[in-house]
Amino acid sequence: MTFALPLRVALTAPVRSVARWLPTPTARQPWRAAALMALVAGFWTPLQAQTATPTATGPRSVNEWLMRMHEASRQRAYMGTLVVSSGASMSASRIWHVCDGEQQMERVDTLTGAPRTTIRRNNEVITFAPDSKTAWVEKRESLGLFPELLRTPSNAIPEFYGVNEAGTERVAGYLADVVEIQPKDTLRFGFRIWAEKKTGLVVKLQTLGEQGAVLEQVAFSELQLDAPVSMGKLTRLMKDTKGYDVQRPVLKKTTAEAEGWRLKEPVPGFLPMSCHTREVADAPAGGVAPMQWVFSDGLASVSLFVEPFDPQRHGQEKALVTGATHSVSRRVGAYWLTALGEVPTATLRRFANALERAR
Amino acid sequence: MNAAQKHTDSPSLASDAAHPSSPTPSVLQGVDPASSLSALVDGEVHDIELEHLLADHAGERETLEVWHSYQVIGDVLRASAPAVANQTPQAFLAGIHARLQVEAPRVEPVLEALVLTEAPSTATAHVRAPAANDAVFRWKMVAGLASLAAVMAVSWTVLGTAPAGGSSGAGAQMALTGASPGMAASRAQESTAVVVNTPQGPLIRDVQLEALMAEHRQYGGMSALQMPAGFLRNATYDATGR
Repeated sequence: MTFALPLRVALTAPVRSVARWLPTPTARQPWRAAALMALVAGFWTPLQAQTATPTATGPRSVNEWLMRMHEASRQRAYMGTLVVSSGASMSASRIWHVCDGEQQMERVDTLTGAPRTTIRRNNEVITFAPDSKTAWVEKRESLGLFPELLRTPSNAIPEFYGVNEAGTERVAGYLADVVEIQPKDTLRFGFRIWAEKKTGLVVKLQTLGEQGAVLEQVAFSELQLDAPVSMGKLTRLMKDTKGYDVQRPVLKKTTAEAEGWRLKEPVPGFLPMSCHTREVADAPAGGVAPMQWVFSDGLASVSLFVEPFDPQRHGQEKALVTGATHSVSRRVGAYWLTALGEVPTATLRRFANALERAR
Repeated sequence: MNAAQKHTDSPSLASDAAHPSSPTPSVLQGVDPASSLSALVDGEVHDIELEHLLADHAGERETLEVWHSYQVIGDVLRASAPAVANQTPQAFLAGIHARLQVEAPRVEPVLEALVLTEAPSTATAHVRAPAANDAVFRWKMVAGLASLAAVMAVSWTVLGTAPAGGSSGAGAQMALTGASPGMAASRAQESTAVVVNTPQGPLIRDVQLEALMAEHRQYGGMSALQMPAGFLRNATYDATGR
């Protein structure tokens, strides 16, 4: 048999390999890609048709939209099923929400994964884990911060995000305004939010990456507005910790300066919001819980976790992605930094490179 | 043996373009060893084919050389590991040029078969049709140019990554990276991002990071969207975090 190397064949070997790297579904089955394109086009057509109808009230600003969404959750009672889809995984929960104008209560029962019941009254949160008979009681500072921040001059959201109204669509049986919140630079992700037309309640939210790729989405698959949710019943449930081992994680408030850290240069738009360490009973080897320094640009938030470097636990520096949550880890002298947040990896790298020891 | 025939199971972009209507050989009979080898590199060879391949060609020096060439080409294009060339870049280039000379005429029969679609079904790729026309000649030009361009691309890479290159090698490497930003980007992502998604359970198989992620959700969700959506999202997630 003659065996002269046919060049064409030689070249197709790497070409095939390259084809595997391309983002197209399958290069070798172009009809499948074509079918997908047709399908996508089919979805887009009605969307664009709807975009043509402008809203009667005139365009709202980013802040006006955010306030509207925020207020909607404060004034409504509803129950429904919420689905969170992130990467290839999907979680769902049953939601009850009630508000009497001042007190706001919410119950979230997970329907996937380990059973958990989370009940919130304003910023007090209790999480029940029936399988381990453990309950965690904590205060979530983040829940009280907004919308006061939206009203203050330090609100820089409009500086870094634009807004675009993109017509109306139906979600969970309700007509909703589609609002696109677009970042003005590449340091943050965009959002597409469906706000119920009459109330402004967020019924669906997508976090959008580069080129508008959906990184994560949260949506009600079923929703009953003005549902008869009893605040009294939720309060009783919240107090009923009988048979549960009640844990109260204590956050020790501190400042980055006090811990000896600073940023060489700020990351545009991100302001430091809080800094704490945590008392941990089952702390890792060193006995020190990581410091958590939280930054926010008003919509996206980043946590910088700093702990002493431990070669046993901290391996190589790496970057991970799950849904919209990205993380970057890096060794800084005798410390180990993990930067985590719903922002692009590049933003986390800027944080990681800017963090330095102040003393 | 028909060198122009392609491996049936692995139609590639290039081969599709070059043989849109080439007769399809059965998997078992008349498989081009180079095609099989190429498919083997891509892990797409059937057991039976593999047996044939090993039985017929294992140990042949030529086969080994071809196999190595494929590996080098793959390595260079993927740039996952430094390409180890068993010959100098000059020799590699010279080899390709030489093969190109040999290869060029082979394009012909297939293309003629392509034009003669109305030919009787007994015609195979090797039947030479009489009298080529202008269209066929244009095709030949296109094919020739395409393969030349491909050779340039591959040899450029090989020269660029050759250890002897020094500063000029680095320049070539940079030029290559600049020329294919898509590939460079996907490569960068591949090397740094590790996405682990399971149907319901933990999203990342890294206990420490998972704990930090849960803490970020619980105490770090500083957003105007926290009240309307963030809290619900986090509580729905939290089951995986504790």
